Amino acid sequence: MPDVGAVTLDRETRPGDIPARRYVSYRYDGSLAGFYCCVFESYTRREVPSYIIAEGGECEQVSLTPEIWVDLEPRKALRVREGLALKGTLRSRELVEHVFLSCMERREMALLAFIRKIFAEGPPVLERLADTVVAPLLKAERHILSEAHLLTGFVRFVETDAGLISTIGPKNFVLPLIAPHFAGRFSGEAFLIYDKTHGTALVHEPGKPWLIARMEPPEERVTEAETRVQALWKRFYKTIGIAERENPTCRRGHMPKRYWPYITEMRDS
Amino acid sequence: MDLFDKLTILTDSAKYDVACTSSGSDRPGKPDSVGNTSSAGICHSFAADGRCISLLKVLLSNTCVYDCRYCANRRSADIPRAAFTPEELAELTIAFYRRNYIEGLFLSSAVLRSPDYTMERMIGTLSILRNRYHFNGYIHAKAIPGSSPEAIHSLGLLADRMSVNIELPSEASLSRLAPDKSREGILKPMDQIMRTSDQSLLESKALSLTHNLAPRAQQRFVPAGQSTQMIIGATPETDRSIMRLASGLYRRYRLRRVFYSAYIPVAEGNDLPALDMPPPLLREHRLYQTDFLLRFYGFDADEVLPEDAPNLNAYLDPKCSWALRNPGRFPIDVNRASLLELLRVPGIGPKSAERIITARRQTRLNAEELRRLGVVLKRAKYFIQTADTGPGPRLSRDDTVRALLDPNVSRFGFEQLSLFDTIDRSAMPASSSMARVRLPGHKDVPTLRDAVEEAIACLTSAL
Repeated sequence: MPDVGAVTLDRETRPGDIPARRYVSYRYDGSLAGFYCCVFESYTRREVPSYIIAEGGECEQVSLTPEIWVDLEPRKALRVREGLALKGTLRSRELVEHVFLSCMERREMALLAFIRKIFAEGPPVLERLADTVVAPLLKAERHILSEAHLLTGFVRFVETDAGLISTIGPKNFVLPLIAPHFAGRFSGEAFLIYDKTHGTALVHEPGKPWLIARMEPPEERVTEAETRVQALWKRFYKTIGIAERENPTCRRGHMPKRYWPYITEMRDS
Repeated sequence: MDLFDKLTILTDSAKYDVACTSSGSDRPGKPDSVGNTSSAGICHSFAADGRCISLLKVLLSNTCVYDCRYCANRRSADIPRAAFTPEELAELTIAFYRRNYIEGLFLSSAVLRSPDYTMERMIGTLSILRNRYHFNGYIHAKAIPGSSPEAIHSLGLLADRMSVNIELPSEASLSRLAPDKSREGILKPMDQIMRTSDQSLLESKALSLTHNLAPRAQQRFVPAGQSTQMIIGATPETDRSIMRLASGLYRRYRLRRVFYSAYIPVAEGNDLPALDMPPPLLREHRLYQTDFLLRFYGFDADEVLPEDAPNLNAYLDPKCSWALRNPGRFPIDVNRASLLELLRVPGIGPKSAERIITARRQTRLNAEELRRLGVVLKRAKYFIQTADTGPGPRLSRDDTVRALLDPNVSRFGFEQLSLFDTIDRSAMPASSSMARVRLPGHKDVPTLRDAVEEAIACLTSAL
């Protein structure tokens, strides 16, 4: 239960909707719905916390501030999510949900500031592309969308007895963004894309909806036929480049080195 | 011959074809088939030369009855020859596609026996892919010059994009270096593809009205349109005549892309560049920049390459040199200028321009805010006026010219300068008293650094 005393105090001392900046942290389960509940909490408590910490997240910090655990309550999450589209536009919700998947540092706090701005000022906020609250979110969104686009190309499947398997190591949590693309492309295939960074996999079976779940790294048992196809592909890759035009800088610019360990034809270079 | 050798020979023979794009087609996946297409196109890898690999780009056969002088596969060339069977190539395409190596197939061929015979084998391959494997991914097919309208029609129903290569930038060069090909034989199929593609779009839109079928779910003729390519630097055409030709092709045949391919010497001959000539990569780069100015920035070929400066500048990108030639049009006020005016500012591209226009509805933009929008001010700042800077000229100093100089010049290397006009007037204001100022060429100075320093001095004094 929220601290009723603090709310009453705020009513007396703070006019309108201006929240108090509090020396307090919210801890939540790391899900989008859980984050929306943190936003709800921030409104009921009329405060902006110092930190919002995802439980088990990659940047989980030990904070010295007093902590509040925020429960996931679907009803509250839904209210914030719908309110966001109502007070802003569908676009503001899309932006929030893209950035939530991104690797932006302290993204929950940045998103809370944005959501508060949208609730207070409405859709024009979305046009303030140079605003100090909005601009970093747009930058983080461009980062994740461009990484998702790159990975629609850089994913490499290996054929195993169990189906097609791929491993990726993206900075952003792109699986939910690339899932519809691969499910549409390989609708008749059983495939799995394992995100090593986030310990999570996209799993697809023919005729069923795709799903994303935490799991252990999959085993890749490579058949002889698979080795041959890989060798043919590597041969094609080597031959298609024009020696007189060799340009390693240009290649690295388009295909940064951090993707190479996951790309069949680049792994050995 | 084993598949490895075939693949090597037929890839090696196809590598000079430039187009590897998979854009322009937007077809969702279907439950009973393999693949989909995405309108922006997807690059799957980048070769050692930095070029995108999107499609499995191979020739069906590299045995040719033609003897085009600039071509690595010409009849008289002494190279190993091979051909895929249609089944073989279809199977390989699917094996690569399922592993997400590629977006689809780029199929071209040397002229085996006759143009129509070659086309028949290409149609056979695509038909196996589409009908036996239910392949729904991207296919780029090259129309063989001299083939019949029936063959082109049939191939076009199986492909997303087609291309007919214009090969060389003028008819004279074509008849000199490719005696088996004619301008007529190249433009006629281009015209047919444009008309049939338009008709097919119209029909599918009409069908979607009567049967409520999504237009993109139907079979269409070349839904991703057509492209072409020409070889640069094998023949003496100016940049102006090349870009005027390209702009004419965009207008007349509504091409999606014109590709420019720096000539890599593959044969000896008095009418061809020497075998040790480096491929003119910097010039090719400048032509692509100009091509983008035509397609996305509202420029006209005559503005970028006027009659009195028919060649591009080695040291400056084409937009910068246009801006220096037209100092009277600057500075422009970012808070008032139209989209087209913003697009004329060096350093501002279509995305930045759109963002400026959106953001300024809510505020008067200053330099810091432009930076936050993602606008790169390194060059733009000399041409714009923001909420925190006054009007007035801010060119004409040595350090500004230095900032405008294209840093890519050094990346491409010193010897590239030898492939440019030394009397380079492309950045000189029309009114300049130094109208015949001479930019340093490859032979005038000992090093690239000296060339750059001298170019800066020349440009500064001409301003």
